[in-house]
Amino acid sequence: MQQKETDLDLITAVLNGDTAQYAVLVKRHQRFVFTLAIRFAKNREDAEEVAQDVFVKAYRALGTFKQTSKFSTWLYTITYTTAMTFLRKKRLDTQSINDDENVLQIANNGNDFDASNSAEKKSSYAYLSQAIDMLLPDDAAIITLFYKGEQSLDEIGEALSMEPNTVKVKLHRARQRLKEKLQYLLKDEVKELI
Amino acid sequence: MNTIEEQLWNYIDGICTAEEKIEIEKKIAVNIQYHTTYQELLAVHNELNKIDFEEPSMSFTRNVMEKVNLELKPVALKTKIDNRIIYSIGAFFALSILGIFIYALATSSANFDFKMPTINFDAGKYINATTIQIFVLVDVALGLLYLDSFLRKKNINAQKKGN
Repeated sequence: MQQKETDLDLITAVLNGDTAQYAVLVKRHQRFVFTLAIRFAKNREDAEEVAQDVFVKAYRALGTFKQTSKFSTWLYTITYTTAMTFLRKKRLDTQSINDDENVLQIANNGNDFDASNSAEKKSSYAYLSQAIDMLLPDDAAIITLFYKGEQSLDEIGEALSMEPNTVKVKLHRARQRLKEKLQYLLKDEVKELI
Repeated sequence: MNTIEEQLWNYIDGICTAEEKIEIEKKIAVNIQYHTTYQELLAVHNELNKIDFEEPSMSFTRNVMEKVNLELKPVALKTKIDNRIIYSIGAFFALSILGIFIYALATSSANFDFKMPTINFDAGKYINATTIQIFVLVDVALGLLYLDSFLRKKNINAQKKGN
């Protein structure tokens, strides 16, 4: 049985001229990079553009990858900076973490959700996804990195250029906000979910 | 001071100390507020663990590879500087200095009539069985230190290859 090649094996192969191996790396990480990109971009088209840009940038800089950290952590750093650049271009305010008005505006613009009559129709997972969409990009990214990226607080800090303790505090706040969003979306049904 | 929620999140994430863990477990068992909040946070935590990845379009990899193929091939930074170039530059300077030195000696008319100073040193007085033993002991110690560093490097390299 053929053993699955590690990220480092694939990177070495690409650096030795076998560029086709990069497609394997892309396939392996594309879902997560895309998920992270969608947390910032808030729509699939823009997220796809950001995610493609991330992989092209990573390819260009592959020779500088120091291999002292995980490839995924390095890739998430590129995702974060690319997404932030994208947001700056789109002139979205990502600085204020307490700007609830913006969060609600994004949520209202992006969804025609009516909590009063559709609560029963949607699964708890759909509500969770919607609540994550309502979070600020930083909060959504930290939650995604922590729960789906299999990243420690140190690694998230490295990817987002933050101190691990700052990441911890932000993660707590993000989950608190997520809980509030779920309560807002589900109203009376919230007890069933949480 | 941590709030109840922060303490409970640390407990759920498993990033609190053993003492804190015991303390929080006690509070959850006896304090209704702790217990209720813990159940709520645990439910949110469990829901978050169920988050699934978003799927990009079917042509995503192909689109990336089309863009990538337009780029220059990446090269590892380590191999960008060829060691042979460094050695060639070093050899050039060494040969130049040696050539100048030989030329200077050959063309010099200076008279090197130089007498070495004499030193009255009775080596037999100092070189005896004890000094030889000390000398051998120091040599053995240095040899062992070198062997230790060599084996360490070998071990690290083997681990890196293993990864």
